[in-house]
Amino acid sequence: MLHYVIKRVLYMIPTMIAISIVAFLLIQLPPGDFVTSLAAQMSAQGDSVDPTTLAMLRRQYGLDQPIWVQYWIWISNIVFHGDFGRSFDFDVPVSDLLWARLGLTFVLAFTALVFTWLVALPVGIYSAVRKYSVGDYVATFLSFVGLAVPNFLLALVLMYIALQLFGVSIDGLYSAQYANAPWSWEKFLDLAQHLVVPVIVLASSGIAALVRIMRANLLDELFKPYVTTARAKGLSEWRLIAKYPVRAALNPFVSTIGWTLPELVSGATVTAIVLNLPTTGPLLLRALIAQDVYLAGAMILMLSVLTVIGTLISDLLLAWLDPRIRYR
Amino acid sequence: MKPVLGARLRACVLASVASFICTMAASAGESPMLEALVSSGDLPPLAERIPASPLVVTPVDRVGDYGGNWHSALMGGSDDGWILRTLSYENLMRWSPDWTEVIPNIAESVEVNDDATEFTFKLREGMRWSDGAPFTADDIRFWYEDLFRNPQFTPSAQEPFINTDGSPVAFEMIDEVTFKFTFANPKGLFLQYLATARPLDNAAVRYPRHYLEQFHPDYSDDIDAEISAAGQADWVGLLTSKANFWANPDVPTINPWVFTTGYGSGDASRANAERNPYYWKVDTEGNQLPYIDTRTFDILSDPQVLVTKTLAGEIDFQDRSLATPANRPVLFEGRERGGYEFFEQTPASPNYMIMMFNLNHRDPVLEELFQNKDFRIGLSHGMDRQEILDVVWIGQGEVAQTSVMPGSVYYNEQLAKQYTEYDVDLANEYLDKVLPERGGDGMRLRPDGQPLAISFAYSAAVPIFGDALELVAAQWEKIGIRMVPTPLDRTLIQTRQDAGELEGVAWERGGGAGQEVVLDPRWWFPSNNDSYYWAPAWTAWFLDVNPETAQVQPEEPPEAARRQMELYGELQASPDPEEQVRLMNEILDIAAEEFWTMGVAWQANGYGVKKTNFLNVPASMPASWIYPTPAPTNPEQYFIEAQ
Repeated sequence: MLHYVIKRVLYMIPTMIAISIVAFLLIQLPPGDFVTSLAAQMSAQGDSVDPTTLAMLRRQYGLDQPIWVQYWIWISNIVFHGDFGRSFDFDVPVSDLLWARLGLTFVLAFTALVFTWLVALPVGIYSAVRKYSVGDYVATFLSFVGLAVPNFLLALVLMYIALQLFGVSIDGLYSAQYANAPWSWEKFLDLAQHLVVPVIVLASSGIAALVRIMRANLLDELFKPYVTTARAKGLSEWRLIAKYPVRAALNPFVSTIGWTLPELVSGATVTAIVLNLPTTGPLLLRALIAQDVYLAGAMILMLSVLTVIGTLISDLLLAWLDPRIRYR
Repeated sequence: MKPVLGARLRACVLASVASFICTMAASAGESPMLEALVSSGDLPPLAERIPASPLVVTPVDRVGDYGGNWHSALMGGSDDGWILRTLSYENLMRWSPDWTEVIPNIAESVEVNDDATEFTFKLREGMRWSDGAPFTADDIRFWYEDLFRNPQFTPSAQEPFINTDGSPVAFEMIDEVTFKFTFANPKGLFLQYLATARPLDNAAVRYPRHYLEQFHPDYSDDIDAEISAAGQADWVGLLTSKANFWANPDVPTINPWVFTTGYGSGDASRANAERNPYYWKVDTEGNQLPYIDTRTFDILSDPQVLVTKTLAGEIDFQDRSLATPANRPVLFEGRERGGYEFFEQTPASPNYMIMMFNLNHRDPVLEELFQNKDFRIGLSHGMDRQEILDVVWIGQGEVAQTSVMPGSVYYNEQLAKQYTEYDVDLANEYLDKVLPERGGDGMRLRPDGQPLAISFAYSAAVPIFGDALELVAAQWEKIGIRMVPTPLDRTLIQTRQDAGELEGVAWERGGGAGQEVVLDPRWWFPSNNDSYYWAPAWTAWFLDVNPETAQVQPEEPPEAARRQMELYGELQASPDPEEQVRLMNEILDIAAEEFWTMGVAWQANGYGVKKTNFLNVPASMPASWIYPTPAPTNPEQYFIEAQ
């Protein structure tokens, strides 16, 4: 087992190198560079900037160097100094920007995940056990609607309703007065209030999908002989279901936990933009559009690391569950 | 809360000679936010914080109330134009609110000698940086000697601080409050340049010596640690980022508001600023400005969020990224619910849509075709401008070419109205001189016999150009010209523009009214970065760009353009305003004769959004970058009416 883990960890190194090169090239692939996009943005607002200033910026950011030189400066600083460079767009260190947003991103994504499971598992179990009942039809109908409606559209609809009914814009994660205030109980409550809509929106499609998966998985298990045996032995119906078939049906969830790691960071970018959430998704999109190379590069690198680690975790979980995998 | 006129006022009525000054000093009010600090001893009294002769700003409607927070928004991380326009328009000189003259701002007065070579500025005695340190001519000297003349910080000197031959201006500090710029030749536009928002033009007053010396190698031995701690490559990067007042709240400024949460700090979702206790402007009753205590800038990634926030009544005053023609109906409908109203912005753009051909295209066949004036005249006659105006801009505006708007001393009838009548026969007559051959489908062929299809680029972010160009394409098809409107990402247009690869391109903004005509002559001759759209190689020649680093190679322009460039040089050197107008009109005459670009129609008025209780905003103001809307209307005297 240890041998297997070490082998897998060693595999990660060339994967990461390849990812870093591809990511850096991809970010640079669109025409122009950060300075071009800056000039374009300024021009679109009617501001103008002279070519000398642009040339100076290009020199300052090292954008006049060949791409492999730029790549080496970037990656060597990360590897040898742990320095992700400065964001061109915001003119602050990339790590400051990322850490400030990662916390909230995790809080939001984790809350949404917990909410998803809390709602989806009981509903899924119910609709499997009471197959073709009115409740099952309602749950099925709602989950198909949830699957079909894009998150961001739901967000827009909720925003529209809030604006029309209450005259407020439900964007952001804090009220204005708490935005830069130190942490306090009031600020926490404020955050909790602001989390309600994003969590519902983010969880909606997840809930819908999970309800369907749980229902299908459980239906596979419900009619197996061990269930009949347990029932014959006189176990109460709900205890029986919770103890045996539900546990078996949960296996596929466990093995997909690893995939949710990168999802926590990059998930729901469009929703976050619509709801103006200070999470990493909009930052990444903005960095890619503005060709803010170091910021975008750091984020893609981080997503890749999380994906690789996530895959490792699910492989390890599978290996632990299924001894046959270990020896391949 | 109204500033209280205290009992001190009554004690003052005695001395009649000094009564004016006395009234000023005695009635002087300040924000309650600062009064508390003064009474607790954390801040010196007002009289010690403001200069002996502060700049007196006349409020637009009335003396305002102190307090409140001005909430607006920025898009992404590089949107500092909005900060420049509303928070930091503090130059040596400034535009009068009606944009007719240049008036002293930081400078208390300026003296210019008769041939406009010597400019002697007198600063305000007792003026202070936002940390209380004196603002003196020595700060200007720090900029001049240690930054502007430092070859690392300023590799090559730029307008407006250069002589005609490109050498830097001479500087002399006469005493604590007096300094002089001396040019080798007359510099007629110098004061006007000093009134714009362009970063180079206000550089002289952006660098507090007492704070920045610690980041300069000439004054500080050990800055390597600072450089690496800040993640910068050299001291230039370090000093530039330390001097950046919207990112670094520690740097003292002379702006009405100083940042407490920098733009880009924390999770980069919001920036905050609060009033500068040492601000050096007062209203007509001697109350220290600004009226508004704090500023909040939401940092958004999507302009639609800004629309929602405005509809919900969260935005106090904004035009940037918000007041687009497309948003107008929805914002208009939501006025009452959102508690806001519109104010008018008069356009400074010379047209709704300026249609340009790349006169320096890489393909010699296309280059020759685009440079042929008959070709452009033919196409111009082949456009039914009234139809386009009616359909796309619902008839709001007036059919015209790319030209100075009426009412200006630079208005040029020929430039405005030539070739605007829709006449298919006339169009064909002109085009037959240039492209007589037609293919089997009736469409004209290039001179080398290849089919002609002009790709006309426009920014995908401005879909209204697409609507207009589709109509133009249909109209041109009737005269045998195939044109393909091509939506491109704005960055891609910029890239192709820099490389001189565009064929046709549609854009607007700049140079159509007020002093913009002179200071931003991008459409009248190949003059600045924005002229790269239609004449990249000639512009590069005029700007004297380095051929080794430039993407487009400089090329000597034809006789007419060279003459315009000469005239512009004379204009820049002329000390006499009337002579400047005459020279500019001569440049515009040549522009009319050459017909560089074509247009559709003059713009109707634009708008901005402000809350109904956000007062002292003029009912109308020009929309311009040279004017930096709304800065010359004095945002420091805007106020939020106490409810």
